[in-house]
Amino acid sequence: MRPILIIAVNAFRETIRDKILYNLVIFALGLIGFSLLLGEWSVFARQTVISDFTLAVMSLVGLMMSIFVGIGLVQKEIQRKTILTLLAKPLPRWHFIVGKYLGLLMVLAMNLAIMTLVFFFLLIFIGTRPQPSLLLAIYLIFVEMAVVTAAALLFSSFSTPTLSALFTLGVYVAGHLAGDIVKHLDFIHKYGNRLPGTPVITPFSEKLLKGIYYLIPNLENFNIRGRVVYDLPIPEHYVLYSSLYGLMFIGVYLLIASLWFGKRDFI
Amino acid sequence: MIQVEDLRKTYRIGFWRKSVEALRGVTFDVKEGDLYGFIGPNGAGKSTSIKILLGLLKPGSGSASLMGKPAGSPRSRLDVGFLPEQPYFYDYLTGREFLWFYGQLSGLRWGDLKVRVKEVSELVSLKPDAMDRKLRTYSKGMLQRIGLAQALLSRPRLVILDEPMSGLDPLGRRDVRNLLKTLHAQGITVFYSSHVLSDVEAICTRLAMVVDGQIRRQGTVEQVLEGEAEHWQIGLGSEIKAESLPNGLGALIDARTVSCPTPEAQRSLLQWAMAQGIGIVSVNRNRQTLEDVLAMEVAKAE
Repeated sequence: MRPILIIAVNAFRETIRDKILYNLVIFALGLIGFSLLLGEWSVFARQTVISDFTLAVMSLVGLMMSIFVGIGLVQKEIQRKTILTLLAKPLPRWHFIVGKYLGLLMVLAMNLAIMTLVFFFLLIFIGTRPQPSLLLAIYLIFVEMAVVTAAALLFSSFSTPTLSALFTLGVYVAGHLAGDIVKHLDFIHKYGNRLPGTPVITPFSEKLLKGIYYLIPNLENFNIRGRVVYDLPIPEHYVLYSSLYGLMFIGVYLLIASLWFGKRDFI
Repeated sequence: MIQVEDLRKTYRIGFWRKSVEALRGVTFDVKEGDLYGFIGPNGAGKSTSIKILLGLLKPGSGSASLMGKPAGSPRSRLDVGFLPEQPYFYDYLTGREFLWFYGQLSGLRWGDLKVRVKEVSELVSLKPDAMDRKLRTYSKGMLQRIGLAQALLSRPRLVILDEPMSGLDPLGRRDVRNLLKTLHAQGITVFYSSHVLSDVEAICTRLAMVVDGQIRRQGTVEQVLEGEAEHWQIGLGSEIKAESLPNGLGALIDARTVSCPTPEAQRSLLQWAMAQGIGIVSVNRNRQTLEDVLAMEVAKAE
C-alpha cells in the first residue's frame, strides 16, 4: 500500500502545481459567482437557481478535470519517459495505475471541497441556510467523477491523449443516456403490440441493448441534484447503492487498465 | 547478477505493423563485482536489452534474469539502481523532493532516507542550493547527476546505466568515469552501455559488443581485442623514400615513419635501418582499439 500512497501523493503534488488546474478552478468559481446574477434574473427562488446552477457547474468542472488532468497524468509520464525510472523500481505496474488514480481523486475531492465552500458561502450570503442534503448531491458528483476518471485512466493506458479524451467524453454522454435504453425497452414491451407503427424489438437487439446498458455506467444514478434542489425525497439507501454501483465500475476499469498497462512495452 | 540467454525481441512499427528485429539471440552474463561495458552502435539493441532486464519491455523469446530472479518481476529489481538514457524527470519537483520520492519508492524509511539523500547528492557533486531548485532549472549535466543519485539512493548491489555519459561535457564525463570506478571499488556491480569506447577500454573489467542485435564479442578488453592485428610504428632519424624500403618490411606512413605489420618485419626493418646508418628515434607497438574492432564488426554486419 505504501508505494501506492507515495505515487498518489506525488500525482496530487504534480496536479496542484499544474496551471491547468488553476484555470479550471478560476473558471468554476467565476461560474458559481455568476449564479448570483442568474438568481437575480430568474423568476424562480434565488437559492434554487443558485443551487441548481452551482451543482451543474461542479459536475461540468469535475468532468473537465477528469478528462484534461486524468488523461494527462499517465500520458505525460509515457511521453516524457519519466515512467522508465518509476517502473524500474521494485513495484508492480498496477501500483502505478492505482496510485495515479488515487492522486487524481485527492485533487477532485479538494476542488469539490473548495467549490462547496464557495457555494455554501454564497447561500449564506443571500440569507439561506445550506441544506445538508446538498452534500449528498455533491458526494454523488464526486462518485460520478471517480467513475469517469477511472474510464479516462483506462483509455489513456492504451490510447493517445486525443482519442482517450474522446472515448471518455463518449462514456460520459452514453452514461447519461444509458437509462433511456431501459426505458425504451420497457416502453416497447408494454405498448409495442398495441401502438401501430412502433418497432417491435428482436430478441437479439434486446440482448445487444441490454449488453450495452450493463457495459457502460448509468451516470444518471449519481444525479440527485434535482431531488435535492427541489427538496424531493431520496429513496432509502440510494446513496449507498449508488456508491457501490460506482465502486464496481471503478474496480473493473482499474483492473482492465492495470492488466493492459502490465502488458505494455515502454520503448 | 545478470544472466541473458538467447534473448530475442521484434518490434512492430508503423501502421502496417512492420516487424523490426531488435535482438537476435543475445547471450551474456555479468558476474558480481564486474564493471561491465555494453557497447555497440546506435540501434544495435543495447537499450532494448537493458529495458528487457528491467521489465520495461517484454522479451520475444529467450530468458533474462537479474539477481537470480526472472527479469520483469518486481523482486528482481529490489537491489538494482537504474539510470535511463537521456533521463527526463519530474520538472515540477526540486532535486530534494525528487530524491525523496524515489527513495520512498525504493523502500527507504525517513531517517535513513535523510542520510542517503545527503550522501548521494555529495557523491554526485550536487550542491545544497541546487538540491532546493526545481528540476526544470537544471542543466543537462545536473539532470544526469541527479539521475545517478536516484539510481544509487537505495544502496543497490547492481547499477544499470544506459549511456550515463551522453550529453556530458569532458569534465562531467570524467566525473562519471571516476564515480563508476568508485562504485566498482566499493564492490557494487556496474553494468553500463556507452559510446565512449576509450572509457570502456580504460575502466571495464569485462564487456560485450552488440552489433545488429547480436553479441559479436565479449570478455575482458584483452579477450575482445585478442587475435587482432598489431603493428609497430618505427620513427626514423632521417627521411627515406618509399622505393628505398625493402619489400615486406612495412609501409611508409610519412618520410620518417614506417608501419610494420609483424614482429619479424619490425626486427628486419631495425636491422636494415642500422645497416643503412639511419637512426631510430622511436619504436611503438600499436594494437587495435575497441573502436577499430567495433568498426570492423559493423562493417562485417553490413
